[in-house]
Amino acid sequence: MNVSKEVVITLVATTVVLFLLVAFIIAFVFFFRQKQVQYKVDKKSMEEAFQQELLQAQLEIQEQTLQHISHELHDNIGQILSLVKINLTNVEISQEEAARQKLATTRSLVVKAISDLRALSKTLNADYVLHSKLSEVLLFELNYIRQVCGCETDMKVLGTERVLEPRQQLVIFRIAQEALNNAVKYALPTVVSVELAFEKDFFRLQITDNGQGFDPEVVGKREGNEQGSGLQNMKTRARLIGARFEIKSQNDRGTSVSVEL
Amino acid sequence: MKYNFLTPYFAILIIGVGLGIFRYSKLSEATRTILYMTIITLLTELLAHWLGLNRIPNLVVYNSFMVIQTVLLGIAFVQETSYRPIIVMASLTVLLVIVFWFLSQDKFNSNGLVSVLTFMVTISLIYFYLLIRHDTIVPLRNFPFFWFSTGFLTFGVLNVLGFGLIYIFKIENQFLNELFTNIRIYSNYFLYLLFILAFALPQNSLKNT
Repeated sequence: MNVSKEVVITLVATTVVLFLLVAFIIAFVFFFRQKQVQYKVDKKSMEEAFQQELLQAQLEIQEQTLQHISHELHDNIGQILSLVKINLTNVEISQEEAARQKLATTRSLVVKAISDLRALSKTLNADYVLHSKLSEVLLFELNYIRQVCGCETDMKVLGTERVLEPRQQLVIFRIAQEALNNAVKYALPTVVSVELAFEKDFFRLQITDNGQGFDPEVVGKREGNEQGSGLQNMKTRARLIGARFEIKSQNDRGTSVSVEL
Repeated sequence: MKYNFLTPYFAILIIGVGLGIFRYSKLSEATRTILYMTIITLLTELLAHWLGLNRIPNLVVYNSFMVIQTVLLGIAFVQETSYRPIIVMASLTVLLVIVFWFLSQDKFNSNGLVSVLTFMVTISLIYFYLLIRHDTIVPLRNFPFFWFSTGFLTFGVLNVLGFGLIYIFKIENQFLNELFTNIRIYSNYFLYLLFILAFALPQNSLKNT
């Protein structure tokens, strides 16, 4: 190879490398910007989806609240007031002692009705969920579950409970509510337990029942099925708050739902 | 010619070091490591220049600098990216520089330099790869390591090319020697001008965005 040819090759190689270098940097800047634009669009649509889910969760909590109230009014306060009415109808002034006893019973029934009404006024709504400890609102929910299904309930808090970010708390509560409702509705359990674990940079909610269980894969794939869409909702909502959702269940071996943050 | 090269070179380095020290509290941990490297570069160049003027061999200064530069570059890029394999690459490069140092005896350690340049190019490409995979809304200009990597990539590629081609062809051509000397000079200016830019701009990293 003569010198002039070497010089030409060297110059051509240098020019090509310089060109490639500049092209690489320009292409990098171009692709970075394109990706950034796409990321902003995705982030915005995710935020919108999140807001929509949050709103939906709030609506569902309200609906659940109305169900609680309706159930309480019909099954508890309504019954007490009916008894009050019967007692008052049957009071005979002429039989003083018997009348006094009936009036005393009626008074205690009215006191119970007032106290149940007060408790009902604290019934969960989205605002209450946002401003209370998660363990408190879940305990309230468990009391309701106990009344509805007549099963034993248990609540454990591991670690020191800390306040979660309000949107996370709302979504987690709604997931818990959905899981507890599913347990009562489909699993027919005798025991339902809730465990909250708080560690530094870690949170876990676990809901376990000893009911009849199911095959999550089969139920999840069944279209137009309420339980399946409930499972899907729980998964979607957990993903929106960056949580890990897991459901373990087997026929006749109960179900365990966990959410980790 | 040499005087013309050194005056702007030292001026750029001094401005870079001055600006880095002035903005020290605002710099990220990784950018601070690059600042330490810039200070050591300035001191090394001053010492080597002084030794040269006094006709005292200064190869030991450059060889030691290559080792220190590789170590600091490795630390800075690991701090910025948390990409552990860089530690292995830096260790391997240091080993190569030391081996070539002993083999080159009283000549300039060109193989050692090519090893360092290759390391620079590799870690810059790794950074570009991690940056393009990173989801962020922060503008590219606010990542100081984008500027450092652009500088190291340009400097590394052009100088590896210069050394490589001269070795492959064993060229003793005045024109090409001057061309690559100029490329070396201007890529040095370019590298340290980008350092000034990186020190001056907001400090975002892969970790905090």
